[in-house]
Amino acid sequence: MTATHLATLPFRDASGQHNGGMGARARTASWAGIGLLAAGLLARWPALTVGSSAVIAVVGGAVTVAGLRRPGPPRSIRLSPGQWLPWLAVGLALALWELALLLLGNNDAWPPLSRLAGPVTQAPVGRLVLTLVWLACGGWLLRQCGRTSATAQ
Amino acid sequence: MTSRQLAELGFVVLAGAAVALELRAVLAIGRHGPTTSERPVRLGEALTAAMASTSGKVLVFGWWWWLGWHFLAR
Repeated sequence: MTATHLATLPFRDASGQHNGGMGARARTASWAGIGLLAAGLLARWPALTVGSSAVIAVVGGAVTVAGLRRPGPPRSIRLSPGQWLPWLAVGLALALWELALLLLGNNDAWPPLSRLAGPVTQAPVGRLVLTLVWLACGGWLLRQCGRTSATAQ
Repeated sequence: MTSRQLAELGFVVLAGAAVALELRAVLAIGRHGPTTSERPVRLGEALTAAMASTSGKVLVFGWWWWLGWHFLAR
């Protein structure tokens, strides 16, 4: 199954509406099943293997393609720079700190976050939990793209 | 202080800043109500607003995909 095939599976929108002929429960079960399968495979396959790379590529690609195909949140949701700049600043600082540590050595003396998280990301249970959290975040992003209202959720 | 402790401290400070921003927004919701005008916003609200444009969606989904790749695949 390719990322494009997965992306064409309909996803429930924020109002609970569905398009297509399949039942809502079947659709939700399909996505849940794909997520659990991906989490199980990633728990079994360690990082730096073809299997783990393929799972991330296919599932991540499917969710990304599905998100880009959706209309997105209403454009009436507008924020002033004073509202989003603090979050952008923290995000950029985190990215720059991670990059600096990668350039300084990417070793035990100068460990980036990915190395500090090694004990978790190398253990099967840790990989399972992290994968489920990652997929839940992807599902949340998809639901936000299906929003029809500008009110906070 | 060793270089490793300095690296860890950097992540702790940034995580603390993110928690402080989220808490400030949650407290502001209690004072101003759920509308996002004229109050600090939560991370989810900032991400949702960013995804209102196609380029924003590309950035947000690309960032999410990269996180999975960085921590689970490489």
